[in-house]
Amino acid sequence: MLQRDSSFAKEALRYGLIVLVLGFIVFPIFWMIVTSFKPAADIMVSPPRFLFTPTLENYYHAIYDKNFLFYIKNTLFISVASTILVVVAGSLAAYSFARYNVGDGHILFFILSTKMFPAIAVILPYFLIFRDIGKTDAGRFLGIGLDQPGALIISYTMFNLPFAIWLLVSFFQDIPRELEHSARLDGLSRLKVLRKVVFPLAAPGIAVTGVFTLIFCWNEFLFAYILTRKAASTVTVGVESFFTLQGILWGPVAAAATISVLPMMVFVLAMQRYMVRGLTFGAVRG
Amino acid sequence: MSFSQAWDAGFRALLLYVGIVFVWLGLIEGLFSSQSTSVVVMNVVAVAIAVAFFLRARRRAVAERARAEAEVRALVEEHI
Amino acid sequence: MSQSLSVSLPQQRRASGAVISDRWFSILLIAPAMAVILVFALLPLVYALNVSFRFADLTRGGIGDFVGLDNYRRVLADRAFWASVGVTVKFTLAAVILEMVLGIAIAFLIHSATKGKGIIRSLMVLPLATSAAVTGLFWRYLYDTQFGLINYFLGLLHLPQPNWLGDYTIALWSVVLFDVWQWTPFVALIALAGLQALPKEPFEAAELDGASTFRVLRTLTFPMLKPVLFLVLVLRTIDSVRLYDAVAVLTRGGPGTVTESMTFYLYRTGLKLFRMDYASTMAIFFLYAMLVASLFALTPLLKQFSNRASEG
Repeated sequence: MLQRDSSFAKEALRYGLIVLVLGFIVFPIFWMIVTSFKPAADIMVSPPRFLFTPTLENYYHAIYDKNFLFYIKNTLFISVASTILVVVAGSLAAYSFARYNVGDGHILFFILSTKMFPAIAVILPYFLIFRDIGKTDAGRFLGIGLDQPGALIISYTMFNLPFAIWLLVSFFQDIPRELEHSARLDGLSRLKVLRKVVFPLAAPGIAVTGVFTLIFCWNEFLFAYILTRKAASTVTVGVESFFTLQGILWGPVAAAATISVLPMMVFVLAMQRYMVRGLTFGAVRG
Repeated sequence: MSFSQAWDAGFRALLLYVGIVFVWLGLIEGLFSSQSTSVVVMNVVAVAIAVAFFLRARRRAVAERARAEAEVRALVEEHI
Repeated sequence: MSQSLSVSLPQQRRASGAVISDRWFSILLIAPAMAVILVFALLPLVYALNVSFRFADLTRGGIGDFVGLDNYRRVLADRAFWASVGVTVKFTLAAVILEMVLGIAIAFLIHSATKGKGIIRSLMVLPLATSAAVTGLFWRYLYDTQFGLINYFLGLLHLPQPNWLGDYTIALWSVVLFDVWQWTPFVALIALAGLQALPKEPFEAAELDGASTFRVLRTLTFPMLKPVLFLVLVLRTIDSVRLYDAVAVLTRGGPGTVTESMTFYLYRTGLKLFRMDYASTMAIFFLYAMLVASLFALTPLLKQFSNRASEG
């Protein structure tokens, strides 16, 4: 820092490297968005064209011909419902683990180890279980069956709970116990303490958990691919369906991919500050 | 040995048993001429090792507890 | 582990005259989550166990007779199974090592930057928000030998233009490259958060002592970052071993079977060849491996957790 010249050269090198890294990271997404505005004639050309007249025809094709907003609607419903379930059940359980240490670590170990279950290893039983439930009256009434949103909501809830509990436990541990103790001494019941003291204090952590769960549900592919056909399909499957129909129509694929990726990107940008803190699971303090 | 420790040791012993079965089926079974003998021997070996593992964990837990109690006793006596 | 908590609470419990004890309260709190997890984790497990001991070829009518350990023998003797295990191991090693090394390097790079950290972080977070199934699909376009941008740029630089997804010697590395693209920012962001949370004092002291940069890194920075880095390592390894989406959209296991990961082979056996018995047996192997791994990976993390529980 003392010698001006060398420090300037260093800075330049540093930012040069950073730009290179960011270029590598951002470019595929950028190119996807660019491609979605390209006229069909400019997509399958070699060498690739960087200058073209932007068009919305790919979006027209995706939205009107392929009814892509239908998938968005499905995904939104399924993701939000799963997220609410995960956050509610997860917060209660995580609080219990953080404060009362239920099961002396063994139950928590069991829950976390289910996070390691590969979805593929349980997908076949899920398929058959939901097929059978779907044939019963209760299943039909609740919409739990193959190609129905209930099946995906349950699967997503199950698969996101371990991670959510893991995250939430670290947040609840950061809340000082003394506050709860004094609230209890003031005569509040345990449930009231939870509602009036603990949850408001843990709100940022709960929000972060919700963000992650929503992203995972939105982006999930395997369950959606195997448990749905058409009626309850989500965006990831929707994009895939574009792909197989008439060869490879990269324009509409790019448009559909952009539509499906954009909501989460905006969401993540808005919540970015909290996310990183949340991701460190309290392993980083301060 | 507390319930918590027993649970832990039991779980590991079970995993050990299953692991031995897998390794046996993959590597050792070919050495036997009869499959049913192999299965019997396999189970005997796997159970023996798993039980031995559990007993060792138990002995350790008991010893540790005895040591902790002795320490506490020593502390209490010092105080008096 | 829990002594310190249970000792401090009883007096207050009586003071407020609660209807139920702390113990029951804590159990009620975990009940909903446990109900979901028990039913939807154990039921499939029991189901898979059951099928793994039976003959189950869905093309020849459902789930059949009990066959003992035959499925296990056959899967263990199956070359393709071991090949898929090999692919998974290769992929996991390559992807995790690359992501960790690059991620940590990028974290240091950004940490030393004086301006624009906010923007840099916002851009880094983008790949994490996208689905591998969607962006992976688009990477196929980037990898395209004729219209792909990657080969176009390589051509400009007069470098060889490989057939990324079609050449069986590099197809797996193309999948690795995609994974590195998506997940290196994740490692970098977490390592960066760890770096920024480091206390200042020890480093100032080291500077006064005239310690070399390398020594500071080795004796201060990395030991202090260890918990965070271990966590990232565990998370990345879990995800890499379960690799499915990227293979499904990029190569479908091909060319031939060189990118057929264990999960993809399982999928093909169960849902394309309809051999539910083999598929379930493989699932059991997979779950067993993950359980053993989680004993090693989760125990240190949980110890960290219970230390904090008793200290709080």
